[in-house]
Amino acid sequence: MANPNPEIWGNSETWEYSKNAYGLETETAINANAYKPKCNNFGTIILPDYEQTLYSGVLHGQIEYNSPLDRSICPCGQSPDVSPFAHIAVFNENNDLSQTPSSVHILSEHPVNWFFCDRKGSNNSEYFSRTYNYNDDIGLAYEQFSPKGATVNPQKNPNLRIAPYTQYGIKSLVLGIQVHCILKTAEQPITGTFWTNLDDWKNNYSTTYDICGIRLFVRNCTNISGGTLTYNNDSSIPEGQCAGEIGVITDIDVMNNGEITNTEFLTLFMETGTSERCCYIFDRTSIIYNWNDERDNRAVLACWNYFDGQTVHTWYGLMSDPVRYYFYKIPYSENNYNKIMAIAALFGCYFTPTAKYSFADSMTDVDLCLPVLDENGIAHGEYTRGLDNANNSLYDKSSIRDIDYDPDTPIDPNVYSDTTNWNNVNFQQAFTKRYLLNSSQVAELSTELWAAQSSKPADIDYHNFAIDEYLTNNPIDTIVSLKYFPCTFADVAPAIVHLGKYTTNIAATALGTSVRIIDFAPIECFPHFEDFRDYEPYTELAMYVPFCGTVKIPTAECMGNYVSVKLAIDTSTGAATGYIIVSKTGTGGICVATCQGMAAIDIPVSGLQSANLANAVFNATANWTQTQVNNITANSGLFKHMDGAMGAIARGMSNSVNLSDVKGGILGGPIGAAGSLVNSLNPISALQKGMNIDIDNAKANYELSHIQVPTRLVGSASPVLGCVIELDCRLIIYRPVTDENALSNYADTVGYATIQSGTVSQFSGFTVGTIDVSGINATAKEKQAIAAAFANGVYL
Amino acid sequence: MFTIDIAYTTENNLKVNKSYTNILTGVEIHPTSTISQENPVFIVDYNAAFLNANYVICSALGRKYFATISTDTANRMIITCSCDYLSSFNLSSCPIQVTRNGGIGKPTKYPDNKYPIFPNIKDITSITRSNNILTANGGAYVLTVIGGGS
Repeated sequence: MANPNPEIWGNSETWEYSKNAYGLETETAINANAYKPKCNNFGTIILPDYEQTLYSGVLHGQIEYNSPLDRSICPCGQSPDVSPFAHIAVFNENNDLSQTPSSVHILSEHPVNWFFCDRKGSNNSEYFSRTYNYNDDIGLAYEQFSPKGATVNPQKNPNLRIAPYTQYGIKSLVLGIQVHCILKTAEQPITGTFWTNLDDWKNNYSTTYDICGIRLFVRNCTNISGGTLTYNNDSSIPEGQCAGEIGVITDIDVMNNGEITNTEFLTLFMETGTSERCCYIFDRTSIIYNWNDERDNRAVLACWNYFDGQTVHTWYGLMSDPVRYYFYKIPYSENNYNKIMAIAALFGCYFTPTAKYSFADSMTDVDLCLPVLDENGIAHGEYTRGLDNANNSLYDKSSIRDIDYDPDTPIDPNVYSDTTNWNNVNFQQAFTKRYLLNSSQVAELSTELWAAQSSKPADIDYHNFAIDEYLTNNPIDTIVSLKYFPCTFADVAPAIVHLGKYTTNIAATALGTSVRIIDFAPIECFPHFEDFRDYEPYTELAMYVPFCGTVKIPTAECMGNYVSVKLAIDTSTGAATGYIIVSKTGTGGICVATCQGMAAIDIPVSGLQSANLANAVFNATANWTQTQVNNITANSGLFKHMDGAMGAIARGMSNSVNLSDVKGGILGGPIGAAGSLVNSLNPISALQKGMNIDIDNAKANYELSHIQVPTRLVGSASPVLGCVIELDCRLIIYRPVTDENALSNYADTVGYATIQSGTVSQFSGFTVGTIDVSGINATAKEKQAIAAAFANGVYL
Repeated sequence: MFTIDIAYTTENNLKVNKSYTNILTGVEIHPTSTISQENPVFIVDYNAAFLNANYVICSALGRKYFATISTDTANRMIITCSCDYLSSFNLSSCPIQVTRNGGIGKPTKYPDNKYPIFPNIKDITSITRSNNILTANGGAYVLTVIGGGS
């Protein structure tokens, strides 16, 4: 914790590390946050000397109300204004809980800051302070938190009987809040109870279980150097472990009937004869009575009337086993939950209401709570949780193990990057194949297309042959596109060009890449003027990217850095995208602008559409035939025109038509002004029966002899202009031009624009600025005149 | 005795802590009823050397003044002064936030809209980078046909 108030905590440099054992109260003082005269385990007062207790200290005016108890207060001291556990209270000698709470004698009406006192083992006769059993190097590490240990002379300062519970050398500490669950219907706390974490009770058991105890376990203990602290079983300590020894939490253990497993915990407090190492806020009270009805336990009273809806139960054991249990049953409510959380927060340590114990990676974990400390390092029960921890003075983004947080330094949660992540795109062409051809291979392809039907066997018609070989009626339909890319390709493998199922004689290569990436070397954007003229609006920059044109780029981002271009060409479509990248070192960098264009040139591919041709011939023939039928009915002389090729057409009307026959020999003679006839003819009617026979004849003859040979053009001619201009990237720089003739007196009459702070003596020449003349001995008018002169410019 | 130093300076009026050359120091002034601290008028005996004076230092008033010399008919010289604020006080330690300064010698990265730059004239230049992958006439034809993928 940063700089606790030394007036409260004392000067930390004077805190001493001591290996002396410290005197411990014999009873569960922490439970009730109270003290009483020293008693044995059976509640019998064995020492009448009250001088050796806090009680006596208060009684005799050795403790001031509302003031901390010298340096026996830990840095995470508890504030008294929230919890009853921060009050000093003692009980009367009888300590009879059967009495009303009025038997509780509150020493201080004004609560003071203090913390729990822990105690050693069952050796109740020793009145010496004890710290922790570590080697010197480790033990020294927690001086920061270790107030002066008690001396063997408690008479000197009875307060030193109070040993702080935070006498451990750890930098981080996570308290886990556990509650002792008891059935709502239970009348005795012996069986059916279990310990679990606070949130588990809230979420899963609160409808059927109340709680009868609260304790804090410690987890994630490390020392100043970051090493995990382990349990130290110091055999020199009588009766087991000393309070304050630190263990490593491995996991939460749900406890039954007070039994725990071998899991090690921080010993903040230890009851006699047990190995629990946790701090009990309160728990069910197991009171052993002797026949004098002497007992000692004030656990329940600490939270008297603190929680909502609590009830006190008493359960008596057998007379032969004189056990009397007093316990609270506290139901769940949001208010009670918040009060338990506030109690944990009062310890000034990290804490969690869950079973989670590992927070090494995230100070903003949703299950991690940080107490809110005031400027003196005192906790008042407030806390933050999860993401809100980032606003807590105890927050440290790097690790919960480091407490060197400076609350004045804002923490930037962002992770910055100066490199754009590029993807290598390559995908499978599912229904097409792509080949790389050179110019001679393209010529071969053209020949192949026109000769595609020549390989047809004689006994197969063209239509079926085309379908079978080319998967389409027309060979040219196998071509999806032919594009010229003005770049070379790598990673290619030899491949024979196939048009559908048809194998050509073209030995090309297969294209393996979907995107062709072309990187241009970086250009250092050197500041020519080394002043404001290197930036906009004075100097402007543009980048010419091949195929994409010229794009303006921001001068401020580029000046003084490196600018490069990455050109990506899509081999499927021919599209090109240029990425302008700015980097500080010439490698990596961030893409600051993009531009698009077209890199590929579409090459037109032509070929015969044989199916369409056959269809056209068939239709024309059918029409001509019909006209002849009409002639026969109206005028029988025209059938003589059906000899020769037309006879074959009329009879067969198959698609095995010789194109030259169709074009050359249909009509016996010229038709005359065929063009005008075509334009004026009406559609042929098979039923005209000679009404327009001459016209019908002329039209049919014309159509038959003018069948269009269907061809197809794949692709369209696209501009090749992208290749006319250079294929280099070019950084175009537009620089300002200075009127040098106007600079001769510039420095002495205008001065150069700047922003500087200092004293007048640090500047020279013509100077314009704002001067602070508050320190000179002059009249107000004179000061104004001086300031005005400097605002307009003076000579220094 | 109220005296002034009569001097002349060739410094610009806006110069802070001007240097000057004394013509005559310790010149007694004729007493007047009042003397303005800001714009005093001193009357002194005629001295032809004073005719070139333009600066007065008055330690009694703790200030320096710009001076205008005139001669009256009584053969006295009347020195009309106005306070030189920039030289009368020690300003060397005064904090200042400077926005323009000739002493730095050259323009800075702070924009200067007074700098004489031709508004409509640009000097255009360029830097190229090439890559051998791109070639106008040595490229490749990509033929895409129907059929299985590749």
